[in-house]
Amino acid sequence: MTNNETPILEIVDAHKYYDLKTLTAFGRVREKVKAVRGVSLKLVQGEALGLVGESGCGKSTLARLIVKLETPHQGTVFFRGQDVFKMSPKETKETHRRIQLIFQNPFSSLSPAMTIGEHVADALTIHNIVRGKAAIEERAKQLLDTVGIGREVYGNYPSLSSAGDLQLANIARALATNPDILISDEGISVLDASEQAKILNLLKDLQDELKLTYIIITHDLSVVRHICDRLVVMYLGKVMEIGDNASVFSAPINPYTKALIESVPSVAKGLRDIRMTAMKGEVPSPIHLPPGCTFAPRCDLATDACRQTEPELIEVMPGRSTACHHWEQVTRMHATS
Amino acid sequence: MSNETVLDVRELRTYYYTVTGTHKVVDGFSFQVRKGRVLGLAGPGGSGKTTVAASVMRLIQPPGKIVGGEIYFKGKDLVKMPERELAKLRGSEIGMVFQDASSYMDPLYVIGDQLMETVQAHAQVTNEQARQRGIELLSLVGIPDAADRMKNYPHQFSGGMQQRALIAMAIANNPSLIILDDPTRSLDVTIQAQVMQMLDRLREKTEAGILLISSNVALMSQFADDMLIMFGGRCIEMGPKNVVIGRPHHPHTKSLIEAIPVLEGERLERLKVLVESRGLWERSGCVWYSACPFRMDRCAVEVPELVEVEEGHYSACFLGVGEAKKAAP
Repeated sequence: MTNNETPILEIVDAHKYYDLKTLTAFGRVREKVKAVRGVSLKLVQGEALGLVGESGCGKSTLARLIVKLETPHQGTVFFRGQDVFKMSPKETKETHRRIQLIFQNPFSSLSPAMTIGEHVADALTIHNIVRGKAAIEERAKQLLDTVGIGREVYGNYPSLSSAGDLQLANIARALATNPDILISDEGISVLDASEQAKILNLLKDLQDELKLTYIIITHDLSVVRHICDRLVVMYLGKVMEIGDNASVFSAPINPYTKALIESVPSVAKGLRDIRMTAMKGEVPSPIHLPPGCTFAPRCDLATDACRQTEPELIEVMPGRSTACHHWEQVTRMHATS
Repeated sequence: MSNETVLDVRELRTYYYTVTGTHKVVDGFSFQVRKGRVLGLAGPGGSGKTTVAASVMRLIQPPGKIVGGEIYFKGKDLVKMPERELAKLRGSEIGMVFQDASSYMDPLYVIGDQLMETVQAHAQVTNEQARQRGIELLSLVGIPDAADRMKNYPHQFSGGMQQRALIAMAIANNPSLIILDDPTRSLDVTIQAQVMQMLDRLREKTEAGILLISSNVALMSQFADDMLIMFGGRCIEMGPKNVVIGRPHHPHTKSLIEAIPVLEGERLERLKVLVESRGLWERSGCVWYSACPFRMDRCAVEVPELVEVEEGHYSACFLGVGEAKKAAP
């Protein structure tokens, strides 16, 4: 999707860390959890962006920065060309209406003391989308129909529904405000395969109908394979690779991306009796990052240069960026495998 | 198949008696786990898989009850076994690993103590011997610096490491049967791969029969030798993995395989959605009737039994082998 206008969302060199006070042998020590370490991204209206990475890579923190639930220590976020961290309270409220976030845990993001209908109605009321009790109720019911759970659940409490249905309710609530951007923070990968399929199909249908822009955050590549146009791969607070869906899957240019793809179980491999292979090592703590490239300890291609200098994210081909000193070797690995 | 049978489950029935009615969660289920082989038990959420595992371990609590069938472990029926004897089997001859490791470890005791407790509950060994065994086990499951890690509390382990520690506890006493209930469900896909790779290596070293329960068919295809597909409390297809996944007979199995998200190949416009298994207990006839594109009149009233559609391959469907092939989409 080519678009020469201003991107609808732009993240510029965002940095975010959290302070931790830890009790050690030397008394209380202040340590920093470096959650996001210089991330820049552009999002074009109407696209579906997949933000992929393991737990702790900073993707959720990035989502929270976008919706102003956190403030960056450096860098900023532009929504429709405006710096969100310089907005007035009124402009902020409008931004909250236009960028909706769906959280990971469908149970904890809904109050057990309110019915599903009340949650959706709340969203309509707070942002003055519809006025009048009857109109609000009807619109809420329409939304429940649209997402596929049906208006019958309007009066139900969340405890009666499955995780998949609750996540649909969360989507209904998010759609209530007529948003421009919908961000799903690991809200899909926690579900059953068939619940996932239902939601992904719904999101695809809604995308054209409502002209939505998506950011789908997940650790599971199979979630983004069929719905996302472009992929951003993150590791320990930095972007490792950016590219269009087809290219990233068929020819990744970062060893981390390649390892991530190979970790996904596959029936094709199973039928050929190919056993699962995995990356070696654990994800390092974001408090004590390894020197140089943070992926070096787990990387098969790592050299001394990698352990000394952290690679910059560079656009090596149109629309394809990578942060790796040896990215060309990754492409050569495909040619032989 | 010359491998000895470790677990022989016959017509297991486990029902839950609740205010909303009797839920026949497991309703006439038979299977065998053989020494040195992995049986994958697949089914969607709500199909009764965890109840099968809990039944085998006799861990069913009211309102659930095992109402019928036999569970032969090395020739002895676990259903009729007194609790004292069962307690000796659990954790020694039968090891079980559940999903969500953190709920199964005591947060107040270090990992080392919990491992040692498992060892010492079933063998007369000194503390030092138990400790050495603990270190050996942690190394076996791929935890580096095992001796130091023995002193960690569960919260100091990452999710993947907690799961490995649980697996270490399950295999501590060289069990003949290992039951894994969706052990990687709560893990990131990369950590899942690591744990499965470790289990693969372990499998080569042990002669235990392994029962792997999961709704992730792709995962199972890379680990199991034989597959069993469960739906609505019943076994609907069973056989060697390559046959069940490569040449499925039952229409439900076919739709299950088709619905697996794949990274290779073309992007799909729409993903396939599977029918849910919950709430089908009151149905007469075939559990898959309402969703089946090949249904016949008899399917609504008669329950299809498992028939051998080719050698070693069983399917609970009235479609004959020839018809099933013709009916293939």
